[in-house]
Amino acid sequence: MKEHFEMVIHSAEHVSLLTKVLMMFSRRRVDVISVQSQHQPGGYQYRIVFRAGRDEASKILLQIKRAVDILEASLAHPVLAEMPLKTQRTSRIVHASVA
Amino acid sequence: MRQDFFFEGNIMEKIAMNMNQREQLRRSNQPITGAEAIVRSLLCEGVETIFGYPGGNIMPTYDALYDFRDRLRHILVRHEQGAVHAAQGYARSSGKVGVVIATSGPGATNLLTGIADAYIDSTPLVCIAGQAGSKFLGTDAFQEVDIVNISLPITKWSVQVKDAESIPEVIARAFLVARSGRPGPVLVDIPKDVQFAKSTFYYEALEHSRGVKEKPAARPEQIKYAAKLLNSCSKPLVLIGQGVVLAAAEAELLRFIDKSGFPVAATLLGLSSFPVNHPQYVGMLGMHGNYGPNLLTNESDLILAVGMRFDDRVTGDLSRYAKRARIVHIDIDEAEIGKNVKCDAPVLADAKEALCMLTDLIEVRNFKEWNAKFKSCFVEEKKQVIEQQLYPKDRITMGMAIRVIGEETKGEAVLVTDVGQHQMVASRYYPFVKNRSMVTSGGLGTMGFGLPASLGAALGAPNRTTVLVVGDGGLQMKIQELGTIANEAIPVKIVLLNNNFLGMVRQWQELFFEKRYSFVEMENPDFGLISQGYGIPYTKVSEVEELAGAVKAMVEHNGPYFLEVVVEKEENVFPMVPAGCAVDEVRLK
Repeated sequence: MKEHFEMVIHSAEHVSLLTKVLMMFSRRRVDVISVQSQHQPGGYQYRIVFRAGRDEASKILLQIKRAVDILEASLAHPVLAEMPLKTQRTSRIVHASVA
Repeated sequence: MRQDFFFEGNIMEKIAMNMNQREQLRRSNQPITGAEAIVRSLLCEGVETIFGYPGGNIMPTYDALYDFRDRLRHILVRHEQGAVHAAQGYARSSGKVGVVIATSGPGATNLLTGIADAYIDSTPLVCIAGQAGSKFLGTDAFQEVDIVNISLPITKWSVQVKDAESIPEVIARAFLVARSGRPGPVLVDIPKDVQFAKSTFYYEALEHSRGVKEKPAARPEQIKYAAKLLNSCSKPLVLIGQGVVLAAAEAELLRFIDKSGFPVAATLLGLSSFPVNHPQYVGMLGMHGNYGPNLLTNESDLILAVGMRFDDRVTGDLSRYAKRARIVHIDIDEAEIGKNVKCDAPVLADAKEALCMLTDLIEVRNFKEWNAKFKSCFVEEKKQVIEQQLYPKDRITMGMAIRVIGEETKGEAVLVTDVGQHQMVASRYYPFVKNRSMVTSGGLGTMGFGLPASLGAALGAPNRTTVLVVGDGGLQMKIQELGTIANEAIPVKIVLLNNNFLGMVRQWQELFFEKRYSFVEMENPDFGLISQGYGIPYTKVSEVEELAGAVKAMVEHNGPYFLEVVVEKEENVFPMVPAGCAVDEVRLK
């Protein structure tokens, strides 16, 4: 059965590593629902909400953990992720007003 | 005495000189170009041989190489893919990191098949690619391609160097990443302006780096639990993979097997890490592996997997794989444990350390009846398959050719293969007695791997005989590397097993597609003329009685040699576990 998970990743590097991580999801045909990336002291934090089976989620976690420059990664069942998509704050949409 | 003293003094002088040279190399307070920094970094890392092909955006580095040509041997291949396979062969036969250098655009994209092959087979490589100048990046400039992102899923680390000052640091880290933990390929992309830019230089080889996974230390509680399972089983089977070779754990494995009394089988890449003439060696696993280890996997009550990854070629139908067995899995890569097969006792560790600790805890046992079952399977396989393949009466088979090569080289050669029927036959029948003797493309199954890999393997093991066994399809995918072999006088013994077919595909079409031979027959060129064109001695044999003499002449020849062996046209490779079947459904015919 597929469920929502949130993976929190601390990394030493940014753009290409995030791309690499997301490729691991797409290669396994796992639906990524949202991605957030932010700078933090000593590196970056990615928060990825996705939908997968438990076994698959833990296998992706192990695959991500072994990548160079991934410092730490963990998996949680977010309450947020169980909520309807429009109420989540896992992705940020910027509305620019055109004067 | 005086002479000894004098001799010793010379050595000390030489060592002092080398240390001086090394110190001079690793430091320059005067600014040097990024290109020179690349070459110096390689020398500081102890690199002696590199494989490459020049082009526009790597020209500054080739210019710097010219000044160091007496210290760094550059092998000019005929295609960049050949450079990567050659570096793979070099890494696999020597245990060192293979180094490749190429230009941007097509030069870099030509590396990709080899990089993917190295990634899946855990081969340590550092690939340096030139790149268009920084101001052209992202503009679709001439030979500008985003190789860093293209190579992301098939490299351990893929990085672009932004400035000349960071070259030594990035290259040192590239070598650390390539060889650390589970080895693999690294790509370093260096824009042309960075190669021209000047900076002071200081090189320091790295042992650790933040973000680079180190070898995990074996946990005593995991070892104890694994030993408990090992000591309570009655039908054990040890499956060894390339992890044994990468950890240099051959001696520890031998001690473990001798003490435990367990039968042992090897995966394709685990071959040569255990002597095939050992009484407890039961053969090769896999789709075209031996009968016994495939059949009896499903009868076994304990499987000890050492540095192997339960690849689908080994397991067959996973839902029917080793259901009676408890699985103990030793691997350095946590992601491999439990990935395909549920594991009862994980041991996250390097094979050498884990085997050493397990050997202390294992009881001395003897599995006479269980080992006898493997022997009777072997007798059956010998009767139905091996006799006909190794000792045919009226025509040369692939198996016969491998047997004769094995006898002539006493199982001590580095055997390189391409991919296909000949690969499976060579793997099963070559009598490996030395470690680091098998160089082949396992996970990716890359046709065209063999010829370039063999030249690299020969350079990586200069004191050993290197024999390439290749089919007519795979040879022609990279046949231009005959030019590299001839130019560099690399003493590879090339054995072409020619059946004028893409043999493995033909076999599958025969067995599973009602013999509808769809585009598998080859109209081949005159390989003698081609060989002559490159200046490589050549012999062709097609009769049984000619084979032994021709192989002997080839092995005794000092230099490269091309032996074409015309083999049975429609020979099938058995045993075989058909795709989608369970391992115990292995067929002998």
